[in-house]
Amino acid sequence: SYRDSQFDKVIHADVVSLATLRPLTWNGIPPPHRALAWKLLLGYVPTNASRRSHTLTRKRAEYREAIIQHYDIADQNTRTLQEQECLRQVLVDAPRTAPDIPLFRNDRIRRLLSRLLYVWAMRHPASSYVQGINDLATPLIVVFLADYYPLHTVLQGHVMNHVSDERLDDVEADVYGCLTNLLAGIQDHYTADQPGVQRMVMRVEELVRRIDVDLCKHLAAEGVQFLQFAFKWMNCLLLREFSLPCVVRLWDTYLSESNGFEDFHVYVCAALVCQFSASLQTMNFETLFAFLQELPTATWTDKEIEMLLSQAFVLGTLFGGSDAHLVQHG
Amino acid sequence: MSQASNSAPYDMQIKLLMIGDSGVGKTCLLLRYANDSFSPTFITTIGIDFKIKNVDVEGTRIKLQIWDTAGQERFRTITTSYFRGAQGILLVYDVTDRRSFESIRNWISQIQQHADVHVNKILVGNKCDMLDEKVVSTEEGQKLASEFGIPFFECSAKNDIHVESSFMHIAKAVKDRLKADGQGGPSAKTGLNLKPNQSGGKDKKCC
Repeated sequence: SYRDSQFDKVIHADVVSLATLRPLTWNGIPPPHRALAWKLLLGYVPTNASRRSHTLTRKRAEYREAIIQHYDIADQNTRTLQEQECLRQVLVDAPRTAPDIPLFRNDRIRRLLSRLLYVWAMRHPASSYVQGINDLATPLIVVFLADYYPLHTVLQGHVMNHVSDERLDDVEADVYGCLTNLLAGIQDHYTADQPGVQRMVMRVEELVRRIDVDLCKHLAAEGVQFLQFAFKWMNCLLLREFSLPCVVRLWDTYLSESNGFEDFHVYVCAALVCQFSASLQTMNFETLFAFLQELPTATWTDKEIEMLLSQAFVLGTLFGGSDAHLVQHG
Repeated sequence: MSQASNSAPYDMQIKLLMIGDSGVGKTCLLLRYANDSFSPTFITTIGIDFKIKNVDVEGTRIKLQIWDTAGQERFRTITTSYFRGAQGILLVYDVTDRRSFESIRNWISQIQQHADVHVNKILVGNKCDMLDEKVVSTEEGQKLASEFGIPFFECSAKNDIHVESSFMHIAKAVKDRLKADGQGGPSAKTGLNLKPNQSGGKDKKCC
């Protein structure tokens, strides 16, 4: 198609122009180009194609060093108590990450996940590992594996019968590098008291108050607070609400926006809750809580996600730049 | 569906809270009790979740509102905000993980700081089916429970051992306490949709 060929041209340029790439990715990235586009937009690989292979080799080697330094320690007693606790948590959580997707029930994938989460935690002591960060690694793992194998083979886990250790090591290093860059933009979501998450929840609430005051009044009257349901939406970036392919589509747009995982995500969450406004306003506390805890969005497809993105875009146009100002005075 | 059971008539509503270290099996216990289901790989709880279960305790129809919390330290600010208003707390550890048992003292002090003074408590050692990996003995569990003067159960969410009796035990204890205090009639039910960081008394008046 025209869009594919346009993408081809932009992404295979000698020097990729991110300013040209971003608007193209807003409407979804063609699967064959997705892995490279994400790596470019997350600043993991250089825009200059001639430097890319060398950079990748260096970054992957650095990550391998980090594993030796932090993870492959024979004598566990050399770890501090905090390090032991962090390792315990990571090892407990790896099997509890996306267990509904066959790929994530694979032992090699669980080991990959444990290692990269632990190494990331050691390199980021201000937040260390927080539950939910494991969820954020899953779209990256799937997209980078799907660069080599068909998506359904990846999700079904059959890919693990084919992928070599060397290739899996490269995927792990790339996921680590991209996750690091993604988290750098939302660092205070996972530091003590999670101020970033609290701030985002306040922004969503303020937005909904302006868009749909009746819904806000109903939630307040029933005693439902935004923090009770939107906390998870911020902490796991809606990974718990949508299927993984839908999250991948969502992230195409987040990566296209300049601060998608922070600013645009707020509009998406506001659009999401307002979408169910009519039914929510008929519910009492318990039904509301149960509904918001488990939205009927697990069966959504790209079509519904794209509707949601359009609504969020409209909200961003209407309220962009002004809601942050309101929160400061609220 | 939970909606159907939500509308069942009841004489009393009780709010229970489950706390304990990450990975001890709080969510698995709750799902075993509320849904009679078990999955060895359940997803981690983020923030807070809840389930409803209607039970009959000695002729009193009770609606249990059971709150399940995330165990990880980083979520402490959000989870402790739900302590106030809880009428019964299940303190859960994993009998195959000594650290989770040692954390119980810390959880007790969290209760003292954040929960109502008269809240009923129960100590639950989960995963008692894993005999080969058990490192916290029944005696140790019993001793700690006695020290705090609270009931003790060893459970298995996986094999459905003592799960129902633990929940029923604390439900009965709360019911008896509320009845003795002259609360718990049908009129009290509107006061129990507790919000975080608000005292029970204040909450009752707002409805």
